[in-house]
Amino acid sequence: MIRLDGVHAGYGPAEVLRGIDLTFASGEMVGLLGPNGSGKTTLVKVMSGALSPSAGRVELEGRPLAHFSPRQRARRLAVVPQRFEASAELTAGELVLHGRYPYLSFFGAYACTDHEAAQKAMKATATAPFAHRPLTALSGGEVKRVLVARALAQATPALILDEAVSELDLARSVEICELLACLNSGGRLVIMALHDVNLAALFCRRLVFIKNGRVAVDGPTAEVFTATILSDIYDTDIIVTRHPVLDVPQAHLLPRAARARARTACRSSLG
Amino acid sequence: MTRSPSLPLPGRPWALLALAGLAAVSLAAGLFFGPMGLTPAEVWRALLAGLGLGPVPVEASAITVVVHIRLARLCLAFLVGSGLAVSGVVFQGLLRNPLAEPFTLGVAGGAAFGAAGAIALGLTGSIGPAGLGVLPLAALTGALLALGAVLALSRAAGGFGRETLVLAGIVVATFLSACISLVKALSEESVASIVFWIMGSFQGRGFAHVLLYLPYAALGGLLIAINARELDLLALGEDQAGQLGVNVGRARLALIVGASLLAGAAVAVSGVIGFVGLVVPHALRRLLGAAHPTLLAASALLGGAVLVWSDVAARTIPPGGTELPVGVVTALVGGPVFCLMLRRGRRGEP
Repeated sequence: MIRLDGVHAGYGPAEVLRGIDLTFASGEMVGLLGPNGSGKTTLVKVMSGALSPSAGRVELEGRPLAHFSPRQRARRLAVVPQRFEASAELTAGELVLHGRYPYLSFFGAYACTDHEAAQKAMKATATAPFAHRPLTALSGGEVKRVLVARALAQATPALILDEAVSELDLARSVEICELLACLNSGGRLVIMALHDVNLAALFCRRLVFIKNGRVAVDGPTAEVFTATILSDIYDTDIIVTRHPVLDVPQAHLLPRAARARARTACRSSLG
Repeated sequence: MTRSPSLPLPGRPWALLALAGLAAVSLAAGLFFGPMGLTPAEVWRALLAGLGLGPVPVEASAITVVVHIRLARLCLAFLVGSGLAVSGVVFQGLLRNPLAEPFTLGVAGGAAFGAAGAIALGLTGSIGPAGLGVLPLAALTGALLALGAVLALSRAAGGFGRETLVLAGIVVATFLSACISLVKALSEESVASIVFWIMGSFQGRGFAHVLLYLPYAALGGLLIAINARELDLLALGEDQAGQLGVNVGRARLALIVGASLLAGAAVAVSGVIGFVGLVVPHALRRLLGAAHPTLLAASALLGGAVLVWSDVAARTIPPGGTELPVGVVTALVGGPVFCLMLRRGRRGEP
């Protein structure tokens, strides 16, 4: 569905992506992981057409992404942005309806089908109760759900999320991820850039690690979610255990001070 | 909640109707104010006679005053007010900055400089009817150049944030106003016409000016109207607009040119009139919400009405037949509102 072939991209002279080869098929749920500044957001921008690669090819459904008009592209690919600022008066319902823009007729009025699609999307994300509230009156988690609803209203076969859960608390993060898993089970391609590796392990079957603008590791979660790979990617000591209830790996940090303490405790108990 | 999430706010159609009513009433009422001291009945008879609807014998001077002076002036004030308010909405949405408008962005100053230059170079004759057509073109060129300078300056200083953009606008506007003074000093014989023209005023304007303004306003208005939805999405930021399917480059260009056409031509016919493009959209956004198609229509109606009443005030407040420049009236009202908005921004509210 989406294919990147030797993609280089950046802002001005600063190159952020240094040769990315990736293929995403429909129906996949992929976690995009990597340290801060590794190029995840830039990758999302390149895949969504917001940034043109300086070299390499990006393909959508087998055709170069640049050959799609913005409207055609927006009917195939929806993006949930990382940051969101709106004017104080914009309501949640209006924002969701903006997701229907790629289907807008020449005369610029949203049709009944558009209103229905927006309504359905808001029901699916449990955002219908605050349709008439301004976005500035909603919590961070609610705004994220409204943004997912907008992407849903776009009715695209692919969905990309740029750190959709980074600013949310535990319960809100799981809520969004469960919603995405549900959308994914309907056959959508879901690609999510995120920082929480454990959340990624819980919900994504495939993980792609980006480091220094390159794909460092790419594979099924069960194979690539290891202490060695995680420690190497994030340059810190990480150990991996099984989730006590589910059959998924989970990562734990082991800060240096704690490690030293553990060693001392170990020695004294031996001595 | 069983209401559709996407229904417009319940009050919107009524608010638009009410604004249309207000605009109509303002236009009608404006006819009855003026230093000539005509009675309402005389005004009415003169209007009918002037429009060829009433065979009532009326003094020719009354017809001249009511139709050729008051009506023409009202039409121009209304159209200019509409244009300034609409261009304010566009700049605010596009730059995502509630303080943006032709005046604060230096667009009005650029247009004034362009027009002053044209007058000084003698391109307009002595603003006779024949040379009048040059003014809007010169003003438009100045407006676009000033806008380009402000945007470049603001981007170099770190983005289109509220204060940065206004600061860049002030720098460019101050520089241009110095340039205008220089032009005035260098071209003594046209000083009077430049001064007369630069103070925002509708004094001495007639149907020739309305005709001069209309084509630019129509083209600008059309460009903005067909991109009203795109403005909704561009107000979310360019990346998001693009990801939602907007052809960002094309829509942004059309909107900037449209708004500059309105503002530039407005300055060309009436001089610099500030704050209408700031206060009117601000008030309406609170009342009607952020949907731009509605906001643009409402701003056109209210902007026109506000400038009509400002002009009435400019004509009637000073005693003894003298007249205030209408720009003074709008600045007296708009300045404090601008301060309030700046304070609100400081407290972190958008």
